[in-house]
Amino acid sequence: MHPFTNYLRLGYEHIISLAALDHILFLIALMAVYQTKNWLKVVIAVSFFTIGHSITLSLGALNVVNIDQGFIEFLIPLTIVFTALLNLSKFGQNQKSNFKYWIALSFGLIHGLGFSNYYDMLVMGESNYWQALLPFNLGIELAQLLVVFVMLIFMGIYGFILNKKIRDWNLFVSGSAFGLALIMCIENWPF
Amino acid sequence: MGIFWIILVSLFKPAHDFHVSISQAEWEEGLLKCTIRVFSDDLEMSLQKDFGVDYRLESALNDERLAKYILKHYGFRQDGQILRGEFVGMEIENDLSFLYLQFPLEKEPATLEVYNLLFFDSFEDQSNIVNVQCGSVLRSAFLSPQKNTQILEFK
Repeated sequence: MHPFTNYLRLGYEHIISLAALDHILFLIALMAVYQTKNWLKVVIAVSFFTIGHSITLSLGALNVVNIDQGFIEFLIPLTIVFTALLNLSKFGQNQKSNFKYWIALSFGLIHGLGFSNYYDMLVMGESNYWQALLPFNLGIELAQLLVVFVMLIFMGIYGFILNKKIRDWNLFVSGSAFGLALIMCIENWPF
Repeated sequence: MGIFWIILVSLFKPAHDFHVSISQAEWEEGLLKCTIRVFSDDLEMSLQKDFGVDYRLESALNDERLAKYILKHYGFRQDGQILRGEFVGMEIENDLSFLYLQFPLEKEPATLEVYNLLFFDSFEDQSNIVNVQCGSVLRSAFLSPQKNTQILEFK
């Protein structure tokens, strides 16, 4: 195998294993308002999320990001709480708006801060950005797209076969995500 | 019901456990030189299992037992024969520790079996990546508790 493949696999398995459930919870909340026919918008939003946390992960090199890890552990579930709340508003439910992309990008930046100790492990000497970080981030993106694909199937079954409104799905998913993330926020209360 | 929520919430940890080690090996003029990057806390925890709960990572810098420990878990086989390696030293840099090893290997290998069992007895989700450079050929092994050895081909 070439190292590229192995770093790709490392990123993929990191998301698929239960280690990164907060990532998955954020994705599920982010896409809860979309109808299956708008799948492309979901893929774009998720890719913006990946770009966001790829940026902060790559900034590890410059050591500019030096925020207390405890505070980040509080911020990450807070992004899920905020996303879930936004899903309840008319504005957040507008499927045509591009606002979700910017939410995904900026919250991706915050989620990437949770990866702060990954950078030094992945990048050292000859194993440069292209050899290690790029495939690692691509692996994360692949795993997230798989999660999106599975969720779209669920949402499709819910919408078309059971003939229910995506609005009810959104209420159920956003409510659950809100509850779980709120508990995480309280557990990681930094003040 | 309460327990259900506790289990569910404990699954969602924003600080991800990232159980990984990455090592680079390069063959040059009869020597296979290796650097293993590990997370310092993982290494300390593993050493504590063998050397006692109060063991500090800093003590390992001057501890002969460390060489034995690392060489037991990390190495190479050629034609089924384990290469006799030598532990060169260790550096601790905050979160990361660097372990240096070398293995005498006269001829440039056509194939090499690598193993790296570090932390497999501590973490089920440990992944150890071993990159080996032989001349212009770069190969990589992905080792896990399910598959703890791999043969790399350089020709």
